[in-house]
Order: sequence, then C-alpha cells, then structure tokens
Amino acid sequence: MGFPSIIENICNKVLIDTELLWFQEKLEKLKTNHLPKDLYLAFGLVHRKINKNIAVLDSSDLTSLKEVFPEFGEMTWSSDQICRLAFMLTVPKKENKKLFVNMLNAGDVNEQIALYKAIYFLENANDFILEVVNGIRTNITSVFDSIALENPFPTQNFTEEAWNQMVLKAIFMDRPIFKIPGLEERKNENLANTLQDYAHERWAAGRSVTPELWRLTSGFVDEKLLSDLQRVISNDISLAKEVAIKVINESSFQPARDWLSKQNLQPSSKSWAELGTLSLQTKE
Amino acid sequence: MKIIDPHIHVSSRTTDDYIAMRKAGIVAIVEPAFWMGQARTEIGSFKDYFASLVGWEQFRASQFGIKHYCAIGLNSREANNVALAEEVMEILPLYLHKENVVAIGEIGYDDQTDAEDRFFREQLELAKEVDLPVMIHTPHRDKKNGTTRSMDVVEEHGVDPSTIVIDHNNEETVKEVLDRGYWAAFTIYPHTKMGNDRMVEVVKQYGSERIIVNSAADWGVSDPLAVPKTAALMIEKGISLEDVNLTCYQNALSIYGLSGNMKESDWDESDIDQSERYDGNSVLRGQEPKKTTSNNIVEN
Repeated sequence: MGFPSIIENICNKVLIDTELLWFQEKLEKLKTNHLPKDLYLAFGLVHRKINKNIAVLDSSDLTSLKEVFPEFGEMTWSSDQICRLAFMLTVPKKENKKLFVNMLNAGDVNEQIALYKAIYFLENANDFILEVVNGIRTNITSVFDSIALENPFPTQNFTEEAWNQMVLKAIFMDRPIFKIPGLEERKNENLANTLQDYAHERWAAGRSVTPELWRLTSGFVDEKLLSDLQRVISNDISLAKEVAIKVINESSFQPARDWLSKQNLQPSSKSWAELGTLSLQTKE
Repeated sequence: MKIIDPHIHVSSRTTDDYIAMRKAGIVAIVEPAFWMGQARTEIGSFKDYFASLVGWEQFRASQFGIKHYCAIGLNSREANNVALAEEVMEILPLYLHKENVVAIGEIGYDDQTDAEDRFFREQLELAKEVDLPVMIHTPHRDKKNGTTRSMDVVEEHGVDPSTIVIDHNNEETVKEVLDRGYWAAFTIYPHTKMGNDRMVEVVKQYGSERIIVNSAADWGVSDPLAVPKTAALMIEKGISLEDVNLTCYQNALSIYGLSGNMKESDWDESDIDQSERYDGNSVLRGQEPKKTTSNNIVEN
C-alpha cells in the first residue's frame, strides 16, 4: 500500500462522524481537481472541522508504515495534523513546491507545524531543504519543535552548519535535545567546540547550562574539555555530574579516564534518552 | 475580574504592557489589522503583517498568558492606494480562515472617498462569503455622517447588523447605532476619542446591551489598560457588576465568538502545551516576567 493510502486509512480510523464526512469529501475533491484554492481552503479549515487529539496508531497501521515510512510511527501526530498531511499528499510533486511555500508564508502557528512535520514525507522532500533550514530561525517554540524534535528531516537533509545551528538553538531555547533524531550520529567536533564556548559564556554570566549539553561532547574529550567536565563533576547538580561521568567513560582520552578512575565515582547506568528524560522532568 | 480588550494593536506595544495587561485581568484581546502610522508601499508588507497577526504576535501574547485573536482586512486609509488595495484584496482570502481570526476589520471610512467606499463594500461581500463578523472603523472627521453612511452601506449589502461592530462611537452616534441593531464599541483613547468618565455616563444612560469598551491602544499616546481602568471606574461609580462584565468582557466574546474561533475555554482551560508556557519560551528568554515595580537593578 502506498503512503498516501496508509495516511488516508489512518484518518478514516481516527476521525468520527461529521469530521470524517467532511474530510472524505474534501479529499476526493482535492484528488480529482488539483485547484490551489481548494487546497488552501481545506487546509485552512481543518482547525474548525477536525479534533486536535493525539492520534493512536494501531498495529496494522504500524505494519504497513514499516514498508514505507517507519519514522511516521515514531512521531507524535494529532488528528488535525494527519488530515493536513493527507491533503498535502494529493498535490502532484511537480506543483507542490510553490503551493507549500505559499502556505508556509501565510500559515498560522498550527498550519506551520503541520507543514514542517509533513515535508519529510513528500516524495520530493529534498526540494524543501532551504525552507526547513529557514524554519529553524523561528522564535515560536512550538514551530521550532516541529522541525527539531522527533522530525527525521534535519538529520537526513541538513548540512553540518545548519545542523549545528539547530542543535545549538535547541539548547539555547532549553528544548529537550534527546528528542532530536540523529543526535548521536551527527555529533561533530565543531558542535562540541561551540557548545563548550557556550557553556563558558553561560558560566561567566553566572548561569547554568542544561546537563544534556555534555552528551554532545562525548567522543571529543581533550585536555580543555576535561577541565570543564571536572568542573561539572565537582560543582554542578547531580544529573549534570552523571552525564559528565558518562562522557568520560565513553571517551578514549586516557588522561580523562585515569583521572576519573581515581575519583571513586559511580558510573551511570542510564541511557542518554533516560538522562534526557530526567533533565526534562527536573525542568517541569 | 476577567477582561477582554477587543481592539488593541499589540504589535506596537512592549512586553511591559503585556505584563501589566495580564496583571489587570485581561485574558483575551482582538488585534484588528490597520495601518502602521505610515503608508505601506508594497504588497509584501501586507503579507508579512497579516502573517505576524496570525503567527508571531499570538505566540508573543501567549507568553504572558493572554489569548490573542485578530481581525484581517484592508484599512480605510490604505484603500486609497487603489493599485495596492486591489492586490491586498487578492491575498485576503489566504488569511481569513486562520485559527485566531475572528472578524474582518478594521474596515470602513476615513476620508469617505470613492476608493474607500469601493473596498469597504468589497470587504462586506467577502464577510458574507466567509461568514465572519465585521469590525467597522468610523472616521475621526465627519464622524456622525460617516457612521450613518457605514450602516446604510452594510444594510444595502444585506449584512445582518447583529454581526457588525461599529467602533469608535461617542455620545452623538451611539443611539442610532444601537437602535439599528448593531454592536456599539467605544474606544477609550486620550484626547482624540473618549475618556472613561464619559464612558461611565454612556453606560448609565444606555445600559450594557451590545455596548463594548476597548482601548485601540497603538503606537500613539494611548493606554493598554484603558478597559480594566474603565471597569474599575464603573464599579467605583456604582454601575452593577453585571453591566461591567457585559461591556468589558462578555459582549466582545458574544460578537466575536460568532466566528467560531473564540471560546471562553480558550483561556479558561489551563492545559496549555509546555512549549507555550513561560518556560522554554523565546520572548522572555528564561527570565521571569517582572512582577514588582521598577528599581535600578537590570535583572540578569
């Protein structure tokens, strides 16, 4: 089954009564004649017609998604967002760039969120790299999250420069970075260095940094970074200490390992995701 | 007491204003599209302005616990640049169905020129088509005639007066506006419009049915707390709490609620998404909103 049909099936299951009737009518119309005006209108009216509850996917959905886009099942979708995606998938890829850019430019907050989440699932997703990179410049937290968190688009399409900018901004905005797909695979020395500078700047101002930051330095421990990790281990909150210890344990930098072995400290048994979750909970 | 300011140009206001507004009880606001103090010269300026009304500004307001709605329209002054106005009319439909749009507005007359008349009428037709209330600006000069003419035109186009707010009323215009079945809004704006002592007298005389108080605060010398201050003055002068509630909260909700996009539950339910709360936001950038009066310390 093709991806558009799977999405349509999911809509048919999560929508009820009048919602479903409205959705099916609009979808058929959009499939038959691809009029931009009809798309703008249907996409815009979703907020009036469709509920915003989190859509729960069943095992048959997940099985069919496995063949095409398993990533879809790893994201959190609300009913209105899936409907908007279904509408977008009716547009032939030759025409969709111009329409979706117009919709992004004129979009309200929830429309922008739906668009940024949907782009990854378009056949020509990589036609939209520039738009998504620009999207990261938003200061609207929920729109930023729709690109950075759970969304596989950046890790697969961003250059190192754009990627680093996104991760740095996520930390700056205090977002839970463990929810960024590809965070581990796309670690790099430039990012580790920038984050180290960022931590110094925060410390100089008498501010703290999120404990999650240090996981991105894992693999790049050197003399200079070791002194920061030592500082965290002696002064910071316990969660940050646990992260710093884990970074050193993962490191092949011998002086760091030697130093740690003398400290008589408990190594962390938690995964990065578990530590990220704990960090998020302490903020709530 | 909960307050709605159903006409305020918050894009021109500071975060200090937002903090003071929330503290004074304002839970929701309507920001109608208007001119920026100088004429726009390109269609792109309108696009970005409308986009900010349905996007950034409502996020900014949410950071201070205020629910932001807007009205989208071509204002009367800028209707006089006909070539540009035609372009604006073409893009308006793109914005009218957004989640926080509760009316077409503010539209109407300024100098009462032919061009103003044309675009006022076209937008009334648009309002019928998309089924949205309309916020009508009445002119500063030749107000009484301009107000009467606005209502004549509305009726000529067969739009139901109960879906229309006639704004910037005064003692001279209010009676006719109410008699003809419209909502009558009053703008408490120092020097050019109304002071709030006059407002109290209006409510004493005409009661609270279909009467709405707003600030129209903008980039000029104006007061974003005009509505809560008027509410306080009404109470002080012996007006019933019920009438205060109607004029400073409920009536605005009733008329703009007709859009289907404005509900009390929008601000009464506190289950706001974590990313929309104070923390993790990008307006306050980790700072708490200022709670005390000023001192010489600039907070870190």
